[in-house]
Amino acid sequence: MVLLLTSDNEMFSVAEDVIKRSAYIKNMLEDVGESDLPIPLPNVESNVLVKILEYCEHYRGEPLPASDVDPAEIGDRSLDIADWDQKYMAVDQEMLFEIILAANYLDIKSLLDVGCKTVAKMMKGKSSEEIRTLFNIANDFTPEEEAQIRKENAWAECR
Amino acid sequence: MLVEVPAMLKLAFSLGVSSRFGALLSQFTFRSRASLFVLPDEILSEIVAELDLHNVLTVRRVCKILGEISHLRMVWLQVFLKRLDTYPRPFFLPKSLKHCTARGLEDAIRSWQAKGPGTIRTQTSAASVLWGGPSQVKESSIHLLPGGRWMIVGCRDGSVWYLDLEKLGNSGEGTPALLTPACPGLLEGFSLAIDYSSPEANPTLLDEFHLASFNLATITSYQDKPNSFYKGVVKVWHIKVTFDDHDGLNAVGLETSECLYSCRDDNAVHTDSPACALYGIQVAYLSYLHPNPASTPSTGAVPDVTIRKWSSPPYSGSISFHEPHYYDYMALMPNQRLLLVSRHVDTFRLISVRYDVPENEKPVLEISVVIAPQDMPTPAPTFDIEAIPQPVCFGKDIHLTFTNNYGELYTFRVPSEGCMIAPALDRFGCTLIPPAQPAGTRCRAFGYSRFVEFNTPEDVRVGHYTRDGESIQSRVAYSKVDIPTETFGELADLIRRPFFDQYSNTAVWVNQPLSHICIVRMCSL
Repeated sequence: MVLLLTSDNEMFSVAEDVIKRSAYIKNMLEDVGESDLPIPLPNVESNVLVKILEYCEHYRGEPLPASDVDPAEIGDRSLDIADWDQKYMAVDQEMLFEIILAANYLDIKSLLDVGCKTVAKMMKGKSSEEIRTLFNIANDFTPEEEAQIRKENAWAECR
Repeated sequence: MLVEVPAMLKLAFSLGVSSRFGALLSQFTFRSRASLFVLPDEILSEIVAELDLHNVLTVRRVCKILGEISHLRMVWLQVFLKRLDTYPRPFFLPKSLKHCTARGLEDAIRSWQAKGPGTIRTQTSAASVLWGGPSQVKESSIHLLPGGRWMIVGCRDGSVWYLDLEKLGNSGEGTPALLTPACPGLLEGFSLAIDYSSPEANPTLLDEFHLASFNLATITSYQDKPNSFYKGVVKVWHIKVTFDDHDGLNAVGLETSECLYSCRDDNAVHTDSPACALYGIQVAYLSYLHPNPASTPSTGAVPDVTIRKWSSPPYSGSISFHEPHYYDYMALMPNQRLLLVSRHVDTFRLISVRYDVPENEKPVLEISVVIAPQDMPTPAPTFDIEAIPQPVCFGKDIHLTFTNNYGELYTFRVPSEGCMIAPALDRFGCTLIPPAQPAGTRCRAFGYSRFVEFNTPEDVRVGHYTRDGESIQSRVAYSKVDIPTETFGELADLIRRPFFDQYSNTAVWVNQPLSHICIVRMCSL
């Protein structure tokens, strides 16, 4: 068992083969070896860690993805997300971003990918204004800048 | 020591100590600071990189942060790689991918995605080549290698030469280099095939698609002495070419040509047609099982197809089978498949056979497609093939393009991967492309979605067609090309079979006996 200490000082006891999906923890365990001391996760809150562990638990036993993938070898990338992952990602925006941040920090490549794809899917097919509303983003372009971008984009958009 | 509070705050921020407080403060400063931006830029760029062209351009207009991210090279690299199969082929990158900037990639993708004829820039050159080879060039044994730079030229004496089209002398003369020597004996015929795609050939494609090593098969038909049987000799060579263009040194030349295999075929081989193929450890060609000793074998009977395994002794068997058609083109493909193309009066016939069968058994006919003209604008007496099919390989697929004298254009995709389970021969459809003006002299070289039309030296045009979903949209854009006419004298002996290299968008016409070469390079950017 591995002990994890979250930023809000909650202790979690996790099976090693579950948490090894996190390359960060896996490397740490390999470097440090057996230890009774908890691993501090100052960037992860307990409610997020619960979610992360749910993911790791679900994919327990499945082979870990190769760590280094040459970006040039990634061929056909589509926004297809597995059904379970879609349900898993059906959380509010704040939690979604927290999961992505935690996946990034803990180095769980597959979860980070799913998170990025989920956000990308939310943006897909929407207009700029719809994206602003969706994520509560203020339009910080001046009218001149906007006109300039529209001009640059015109060719591709009037196809 | 007394430090002012604002300065302390600044220090704290710059050290990144109080990030949570900083986030809080920035929420105050920018009232609507969205929670999306808790994500660092590197993750935001990963997210944007998941989108396609249109959505990336939309995201660019949302706000400044996303606007900046939409200009990152990493984003455009992903957009490029993700939709690689949807761009018109062949396409050009402004530089090799490694050196392409974000802007360069974006511009390229946007221009590919923009529908409509677009513009094709062309660079043309016409060269006079003083053929230095000792023997007459054999028309059906000329190949343009990927990259559009080197030409492989087979001669009637069985020798094979290569010609660097970029290394012509001051007056345009070429200096052919010998690849394989002439065949001894009384040579009746000769044909050659090149393999630059199989793992066994171990091909090396250097930057800019310059082929530096490949395999070559020569099939010769000869007599030991007069009035004896014609015999065949099959040889397989591995060719290495040095290519070092750095520092302007232009050290380009033949490194080695090594004979890997040599075998006598007691049957007479047929060498009049360009139909022969080399892929991996197999070589395929046409032959006659029952030759007539008194006459040349190329008259009369329809030849058989022989597939010979040239590698891995002790097995060196061969399979021969007979089909009642005369084949103009054949290609060996992965998964033990042979693609045969024949034309008969007014039809094309495409056949795929599976030859992983025991020796002396007939290969299994898997696919047979017969193509007859669909539209006949005006009754024409003959069905003339304008372009002998030239295979265009993308990945492991083979694309074939045919046209007839009605202007019908057919493109086929023969997937090699799927052959094992379900034979499939995708027919993309046919379209009418405008007839050339003036009619009669035209000679078109086809790439995938592009063509060059040679009418006269003063009238060379380039065009392209696009595929929209399942059907080919006949959007042809002509742009005139300037060819310096003084380099061309008599064109009557222009070989009707032009060459097109899809990697470099180069079309090449030659005449017999290879005294003139016309090179048209197209550029899609």
